[in-house]
Amino acid sequence: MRLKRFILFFGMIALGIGAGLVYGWAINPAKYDITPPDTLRADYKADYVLMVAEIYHSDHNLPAAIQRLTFFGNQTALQAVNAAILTGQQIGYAQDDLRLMTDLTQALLQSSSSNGKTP
Amino acid sequence: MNETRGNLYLLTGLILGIACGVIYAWVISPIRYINTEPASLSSNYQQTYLQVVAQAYAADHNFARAQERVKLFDNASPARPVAAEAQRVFAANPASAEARDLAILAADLAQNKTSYIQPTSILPTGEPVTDTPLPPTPTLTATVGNAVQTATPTFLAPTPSTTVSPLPPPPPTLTLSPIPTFTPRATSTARAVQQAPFTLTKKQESCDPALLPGLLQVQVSDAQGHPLAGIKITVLWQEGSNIFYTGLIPEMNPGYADFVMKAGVLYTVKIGEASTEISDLKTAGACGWQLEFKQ
Repeated sequence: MRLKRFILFFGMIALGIGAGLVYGWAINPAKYDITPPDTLRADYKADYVLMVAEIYHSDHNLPAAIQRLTFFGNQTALQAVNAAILTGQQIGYAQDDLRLMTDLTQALLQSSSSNGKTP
Repeated sequence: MNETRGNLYLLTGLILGIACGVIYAWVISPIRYINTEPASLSSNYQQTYLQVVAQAYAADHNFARAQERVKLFDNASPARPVAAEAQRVFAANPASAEARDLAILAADLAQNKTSYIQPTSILPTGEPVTDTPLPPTPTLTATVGNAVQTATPTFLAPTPSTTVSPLPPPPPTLTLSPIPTFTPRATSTARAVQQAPFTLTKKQESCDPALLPGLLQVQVSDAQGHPLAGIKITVLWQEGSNIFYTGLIPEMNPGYADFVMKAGVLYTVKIGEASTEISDLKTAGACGWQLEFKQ
């Protein structure tokens, strides 16, 4: 009798855990608005980088461009731009837009070669 | 009696299990979303994103593209998130270029037209014009451990899911595959410049009880009478000064701006960089002033 109660108790705990997981993952997942930029879809990331390249094309302010590219957090500026160029090529970005991002890549490479650090 | 105690045991176990499950699902291993859209970002990242959209618009003057980008945040009323962000940035730093760029974009979105002067010829080759497509409305996908959940399963995103992490830097001269498209890009940076003088066309005391006491209302328009957004307004008084821009309240109109004066203080207003200062603006408390300027 005692063993049966023991098994039932832990069985209910297991059932509760299952129900809690379903509730916490499927029915009412953790807050949606805490999403960081590195979770953006690749084409949105590419569009963000394109915007940075457009601004850089206008003001030629490389430190500001690098600062804007820290948006993605886990990537260096150069990695972010390279990834955006690849995505842009794959989804058919206009040549002018790819050129803008390539110009930014070149500026980042020149900057890294002159100061010895990866931007 | 024993049966009742047994049932309570089961209920206790169930509640304990649910609590553990929810804590695990919310805190220890919460759902991690991937392939998200900009509107799902945390608010501070959304603010950064909108600022970059406005700065890119100020750089390339491509209104259609800026409009599509902002529609990712509010498809029905794209001016609203930009205006809200403009007001937030303006409150933090009234003289910032970001506030001005956001104000111009908000005003242009409200008017549904660009205030930048478009170049007459941008395509010397006469090739067909095709703008780079913006990302379509995404499918939100979430992962739990190895499982992947799709939040909006109505359609699949047409773009490839590119894995782009540790890439070697490309050579400085990247060879691009020829694409028969051409993005129109403005080459002219002309716009209603701050340096152009503005003339005061109306100066009138306003005692409308519906308005805030001491409200200074400024309306700026171009020579044709069209409201001008992003025009710098400097207000000076003995103890200080304030700078703000037209267009921060696009629901009024793009050339509108206002400022609340303190009773008994003498104010001077200057529009743009080269206009004559309007001085001796004073309120006793209940009334304000209406000023209209034309370029």
